[in-house]
Amino acid sequence: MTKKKLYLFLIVICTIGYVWLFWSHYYYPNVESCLFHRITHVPCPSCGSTRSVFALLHGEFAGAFYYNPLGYLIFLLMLSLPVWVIYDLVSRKETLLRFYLYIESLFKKRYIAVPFILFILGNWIWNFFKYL
Amino acid sequence: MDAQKVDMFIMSNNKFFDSFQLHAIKDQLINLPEEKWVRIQVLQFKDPTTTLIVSILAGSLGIDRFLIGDVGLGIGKLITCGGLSIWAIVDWFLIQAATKEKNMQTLQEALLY
Repeated sequence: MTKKKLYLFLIVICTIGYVWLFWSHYYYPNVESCLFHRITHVPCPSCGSTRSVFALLHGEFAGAFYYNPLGYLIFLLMLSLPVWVIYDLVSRKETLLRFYLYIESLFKKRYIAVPFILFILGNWIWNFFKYL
Repeated sequence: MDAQKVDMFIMSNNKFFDSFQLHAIKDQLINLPEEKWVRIQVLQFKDPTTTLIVSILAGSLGIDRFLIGDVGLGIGKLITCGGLSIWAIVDWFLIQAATKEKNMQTLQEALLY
C-alpha cells in the first residue's frame, strides 16, 4: 500500500460518507443503501450505523449503542481521518501510513483477530433480532 | 537463468500478472542466479478470477480485501457495509488489478532475498 493510494482512498471514502450523511439528514431518502440487505433481506454487520451516527450527533449514546456499536468507531474515524490526512499532506509526514501499517500487522496476530471476528459475528447476530 | 525455464515460468503464471509486468519479470528472471530458481518456483500466487468471484459474492463484507492481504481496507469495508455498497461495486472492477499487484509484490520480495 503506497501513501498516495491510501490517502486517495481515505479522502474519497470520507467524502462519500459525509455526502451520504448530509443527504440523508436533509432529504430523508427512501432508498436502502445496503446492497446486502436488499438482495438477501438479512441485515449486514453494519446495518444501522447511519442511524447510530445520527444518534451520536444528537447526544443519545445509549440509542447509538442499540442501533449499532460500530457507529462509535465510524464516528471517530470520520472525525479524525480527514484531519489526519490533511495534517500529513501539509507537513509532508507519513504518520497515518505508519499507523495504518501498524494496525494491519496487529490484525494479522491471532489473539487480536479472533476476538475481533467474534465481536463482528456477535454484532451481526444481534442485528438479526433487532428491529432495524 | 535458462531462457527456457523463464519461458516456462511466464507461461504457467501469466494469469497472475498484468501484461505490462510480464516483460519486466522476464528481464529480471533472465538475470537471476540459478540457485534462486527453486524459491521462485514454489511461490504461491492469488488467482485474480477467484478474488473477483469472492468480490461479487461477499464484497460488501470486505472478504475480497482480506483475501489478498489488505487487512486495513478489509476492516474499513466491513464496518461500513462495503462503503455504502458503492465501494463494493467499484471494487468489482479494481480487485483484479489489486490482486495482480499483490502477486507482483510477492514475487519482488522473493527476488530480493
